[in-house]
Amino acid sequence: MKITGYADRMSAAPGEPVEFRISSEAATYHADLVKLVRGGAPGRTHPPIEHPVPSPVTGDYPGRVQRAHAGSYVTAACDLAFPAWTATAWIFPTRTGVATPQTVLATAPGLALAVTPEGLALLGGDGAVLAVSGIALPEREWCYVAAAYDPAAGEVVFVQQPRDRTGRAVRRAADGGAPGRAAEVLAGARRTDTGAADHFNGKIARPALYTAALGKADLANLADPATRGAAAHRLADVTAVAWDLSADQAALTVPDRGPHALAGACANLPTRAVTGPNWTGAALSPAAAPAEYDAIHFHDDDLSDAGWDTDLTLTVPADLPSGVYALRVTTGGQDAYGDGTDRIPFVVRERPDAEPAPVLVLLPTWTYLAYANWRTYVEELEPRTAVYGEPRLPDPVDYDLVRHPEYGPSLYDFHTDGTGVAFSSYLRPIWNMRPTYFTPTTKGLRHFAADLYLIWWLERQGIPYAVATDHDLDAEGAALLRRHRVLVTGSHPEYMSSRMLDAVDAFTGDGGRLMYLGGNGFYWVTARHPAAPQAIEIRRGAGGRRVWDSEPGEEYLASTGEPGGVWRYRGRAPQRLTGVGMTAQGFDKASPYRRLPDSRDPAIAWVFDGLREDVFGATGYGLGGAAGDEIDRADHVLGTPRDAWILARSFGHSAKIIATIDEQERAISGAVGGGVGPHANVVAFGRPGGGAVFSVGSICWVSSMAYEDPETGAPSDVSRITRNVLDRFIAEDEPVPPNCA
Amino acid sequence: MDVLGQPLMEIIGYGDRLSAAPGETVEFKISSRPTRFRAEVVRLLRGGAPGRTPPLVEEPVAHPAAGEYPGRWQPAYAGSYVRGALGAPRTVPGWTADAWIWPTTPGRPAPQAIVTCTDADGRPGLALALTASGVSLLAGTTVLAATGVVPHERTWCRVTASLDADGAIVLTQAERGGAVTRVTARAASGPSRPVGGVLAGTLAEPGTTDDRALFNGKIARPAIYPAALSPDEVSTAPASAASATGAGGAEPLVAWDFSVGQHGTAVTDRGPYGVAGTCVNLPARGVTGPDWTGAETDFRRAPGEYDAIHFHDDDLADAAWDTDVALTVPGDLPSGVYALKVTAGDDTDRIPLVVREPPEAPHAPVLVLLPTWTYLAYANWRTYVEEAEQRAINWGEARGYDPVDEFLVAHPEYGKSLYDHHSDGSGVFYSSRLRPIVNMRPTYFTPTTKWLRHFAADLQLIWWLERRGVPYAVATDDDLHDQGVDLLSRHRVVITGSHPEYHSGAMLDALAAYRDSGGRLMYLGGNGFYWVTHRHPAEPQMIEIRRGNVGVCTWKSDPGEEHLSGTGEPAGLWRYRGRAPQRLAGVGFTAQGFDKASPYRRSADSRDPAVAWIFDGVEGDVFGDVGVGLGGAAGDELDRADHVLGTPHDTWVLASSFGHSEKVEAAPDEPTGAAATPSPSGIGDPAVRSDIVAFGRPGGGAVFSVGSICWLSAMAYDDGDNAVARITGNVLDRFLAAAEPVPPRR
Repeated sequence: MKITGYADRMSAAPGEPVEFRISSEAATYHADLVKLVRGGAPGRTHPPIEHPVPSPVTGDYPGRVQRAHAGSYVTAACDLAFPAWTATAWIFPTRTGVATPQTVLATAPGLALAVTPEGLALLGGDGAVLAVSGIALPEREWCYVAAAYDPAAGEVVFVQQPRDRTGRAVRRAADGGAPGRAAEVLAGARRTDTGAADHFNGKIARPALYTAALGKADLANLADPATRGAAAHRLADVTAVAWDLSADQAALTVPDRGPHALAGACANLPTRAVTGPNWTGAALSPAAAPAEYDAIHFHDDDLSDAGWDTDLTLTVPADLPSGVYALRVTTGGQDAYGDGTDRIPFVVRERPDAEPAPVLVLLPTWTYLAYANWRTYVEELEPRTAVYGEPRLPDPVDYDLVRHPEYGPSLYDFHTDGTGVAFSSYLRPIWNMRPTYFTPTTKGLRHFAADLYLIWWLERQGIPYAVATDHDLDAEGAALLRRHRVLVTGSHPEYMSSRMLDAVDAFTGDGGRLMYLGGNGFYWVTARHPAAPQAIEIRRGAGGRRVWDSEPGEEYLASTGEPGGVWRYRGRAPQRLTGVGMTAQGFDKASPYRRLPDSRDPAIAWVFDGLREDVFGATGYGLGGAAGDEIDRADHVLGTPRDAWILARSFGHSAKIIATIDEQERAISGAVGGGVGPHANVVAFGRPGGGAVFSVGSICWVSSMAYEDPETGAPSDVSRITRNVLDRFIAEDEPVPPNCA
Repeated sequence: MDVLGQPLMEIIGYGDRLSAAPGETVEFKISSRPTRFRAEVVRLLRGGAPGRTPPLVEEPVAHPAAGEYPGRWQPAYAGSYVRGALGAPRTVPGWTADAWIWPTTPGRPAPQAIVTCTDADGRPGLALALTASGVSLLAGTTVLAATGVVPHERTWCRVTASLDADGAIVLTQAERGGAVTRVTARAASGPSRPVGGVLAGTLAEPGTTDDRALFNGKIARPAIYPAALSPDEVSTAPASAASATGAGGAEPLVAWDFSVGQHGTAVTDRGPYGVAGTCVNLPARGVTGPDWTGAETDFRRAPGEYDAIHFHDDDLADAAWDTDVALTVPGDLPSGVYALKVTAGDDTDRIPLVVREPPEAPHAPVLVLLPTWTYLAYANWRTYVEEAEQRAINWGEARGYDPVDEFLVAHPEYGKSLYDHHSDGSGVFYSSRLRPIVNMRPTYFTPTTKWLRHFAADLQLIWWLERRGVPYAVATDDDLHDQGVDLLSRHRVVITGSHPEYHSGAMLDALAAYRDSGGRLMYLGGNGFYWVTHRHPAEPQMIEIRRGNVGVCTWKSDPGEEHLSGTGEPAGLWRYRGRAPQRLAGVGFTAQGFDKASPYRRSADSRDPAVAWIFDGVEGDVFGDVGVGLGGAAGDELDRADHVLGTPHDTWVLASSFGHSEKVEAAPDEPTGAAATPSPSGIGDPAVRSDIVAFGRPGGGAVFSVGSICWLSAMAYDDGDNAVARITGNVLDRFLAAAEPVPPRR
């Protein structure tokens, strides 16, 4: 990509400013505003549709390359003289094989204690290795480490004391001169002229720096939990900093228990609420055992904010209709869809004083973030071919992404040290959140680009709509929804906070109507980080049922302190909210649905007005049908209301459609249509007060709904069904009576 | 012949403890169809199933308890409930019963009592119950009125029944999120009999009536009022709220609050009369109530949301039989495994008893630790019969099962294993030793191993030590839990059984402390140290687990119910509490399969002179390719070394098994990989293997682990003349003699 960028927010109301940060290889570029109407990957699918919108930002701009710097650390400014220099910490290194030193503690200007393949190292101010211990540190073992440097003697004492094994202390010659006066203390990285460098991978606990060369007795006493407190007290005069990583896990500052009160700031969102060296396993959350969670896990590819400068600011015009827009930036001359053009999307919300549109489209922006820059389309080309049953080449931008590890991973990726990714930020270029992005999984569009099918369809049907995002729903709750008659979800609204679930539940419980036109929705416990609101956080839990496992004791969110994982295990299976919940996935092809007896009841048969056949959804863009990708089923035990109408069930799925582990091993299930193998259900139910829910349980639904016969241009049967429901949901007082059968 | 046309066990029994020291008295409770039975004491030396080889070896022990005893059949009564008695019977002018229920078998035709008032003699009076006609008001076993609507399974429903002085009945049933059903009816009269007691979950205690109407499912906030009240007049607040007083000053006769005292069997009454309740047969506590929000998944952090009890008609805490034979352990009886052998007619039962060493010296150099908590976990596992067909597929052949498993089918009241499901489909949390346990017998055949398993298999250790002439003592998991490291530190070497799977934190602490203070551990089994387990504080004859949602298991925990009621601690696998078995033993569970066992191949590490002595007398690289049962040393459940999970970095990996079939599958504890689809397991899966490891500890401690349940069966092959037995002997000899038997691997 010769040009790319990001906005400072995902949505804005008229009158609000949106700042765009652009990196351009060309010296000038052109920007304009476009309204997005349909997604499309040029050359792979139907073309996208977008309309230029006049705005004051249209014009040429000077361009320059802006870089991002990944890697997390803790830092504090100081002004301290270091006649000698000692660093102590407990570490749990996770990537000891790399040749680059990984900094545990550093002063700047000054020295650094680092992990290298040759064991502990003392680094000089230029990063040069002054001395190494010569004893390699095993991965994933808690080890007390220390380096006590005496410039007068020209030597350093290294201590490496594994928690559960015999330790060693070694003396090495080190000619580093006087450490001098430091202006900054750091943990997890050291400072260079170009920024933080030599990042640590793994956990650090109880990091401390001293302005003297401590003796072996002091170093030993600091290692032992029984003597540590007294030793720290005795050494207060020579303590530079002693960060307490166990306090307030939702904060991004850490208090200093030393005499200078050098509170540290966490940069680039390292993972907090992780177990420390003396975690007993008696309790599994920081709230239940705060002192045992006194570590931070640093990664060299953490990124909370690319930190680019703003190039242009768009104040959303007061008369701009709510919708999905993009800032289109182009270096000019090339193909409108080539690597010289980028489209940075944002949502324009409805004016608070406008007459509300009957329909609100809720774009699942948290799910876009969860998948942001997912890197395995290229990394795992081969296993993916087996999953698809055919080769499907990734989007060209995925190959380019490989060259930009600093743009950060998705929540489906692993950090470079093999641990799972818990945070994802929107303050960075996100190349798969683009209207033109091709997703091999669906042989077409997915996520943001696919959700534009909803926009396209509403435009074609002539139905007024407003658009909002997950971020808006989390911030405003049910008040956001109550303006509208009908809430329409995107195709894959998977990541939700409790506040968002509460809001949707309150909406339908108070007369609102929900059309859940997707699959695998309302699934993961998710929260927005209170101190870094551009980032969402998850924990995957454990058990091999997901892409990655949480480490033992690390299943609670740092942001909120709540148990993470899937909502099902907190008693909020998606069936309770929508009538259906995730059951299986597979990506070879999509299947049609067949109507079930419930759908013949005159009370509900109107859903299928205009359909002649029992079978529907046999066509669609991408996977070629309505029921595919990730699919959901109804289950009364998991929470599908007893008075729900089970209208249809998909059929004909191949052996490549595989039930999730939770579904395979469930002892008790009230599955509707149990014993028929993986399937999606279409479900409708009413709620007292006129509320109603219609759920389709399939990511592919929207690609089938938008499908038009290439010969005749006729809309699909899925389009007709969706329209029947939408009309009734907009117009009727009690659109779905209870199923009393 | 019994009801199934199968051979009947004419005699069966249990002891009041599984182990005893000299001087202690063990009470045996016997049920005998013949009116006389004979009892004798035997020392068990080797297990063996009738008609199979090698055969059982036992030797008689002279004891005064031996002799003839009068026999009679003693019944057991399964089914849990709560009982409470009023200080004095109370006459009530009107009557209301109110509760929340989460029924798990609402469709059953037989009544299920939710809350019952009994008279002073315990006979059932008015009761709120679930019947085939919906929520019902009963007088004794007579249905006075019913709503006609059967509530849905596993859905919270508030149910209320009232009867006024004139006989007017109102029944109300309101399902969470559903419609309200209200039915009125008329009885001949108002409440006629004084209320002497209250029961929740049943109509009557055993011995009162045959039709006890046991309830399956959860009950929360059961309350009785001495007046006819509508649901709105009854306090709808959770019972932990300040007052349970109904509108109009109607005070409840009883208003039980199940949210208090989850770790015990006592139930608190919020009403003015303080009618304390007692849980009988240990229903499941620490379970979510009607207002659980899911914000917390630990009942200690949201006690008010855990105000329900889950009752099952097949819960059993104590068969409560009378004692027939009291056996005082003689002061000079050597520690070992014994049995009370009782015979009536053609039938014999051997009720096992471990005799411990006296606490005072001298002590045997070797302690055999029988994994009795694992025996309890598997006690009376019923699926050998229930799932015979599926098992034949798993094994790849038909293997039959022990005849006593069919006897078990005829006796559901003997309770279930932690691998079974309750009759309502929910998982079994608790297992008691105070009941007949037919598969904890020296003669019990287990088709899984085509030989013996658990207790009977572990006797192979005894046989091997006896033949080797090594003095040994024997203790049990309960002893380890009670005595901690003090039990172990008297001995030079501790040897585990073949499958020590269930442990408390205290037991893991004791083993680690022993190892770290010079003790030597020989873990001669597979899938050890796996599940978080605890003994129930109020019913110490029982262990408790929760399966969680991970790991190889036959059921999953319901959401929010993954903490032990007895201790409040998070349950499931120790791995997810940071104590993977690798940390203690160097290896941890990785795969299982039961078609056949495989051999091991030595590693290059094993040639290092520091540890090569382990293989003295073993020829070639491959060993363990023979064994009784599955025919090899590496089989059944397998463990592997893994530094990430905790295998110490200075561990010697001496050998790994190979050649497992596709029927041996990896445990689902591992992440599936980033392509977001389950990865195939089986052949070629590097996780399907057993590792043999050894490592030392500072201070002379040492660990030798084999990571396979079949190891003992391979030791038994060819009358003990085989490579696997030789390796085990080499390790034992060195562990007994050397100051630092295993140097660290550098």
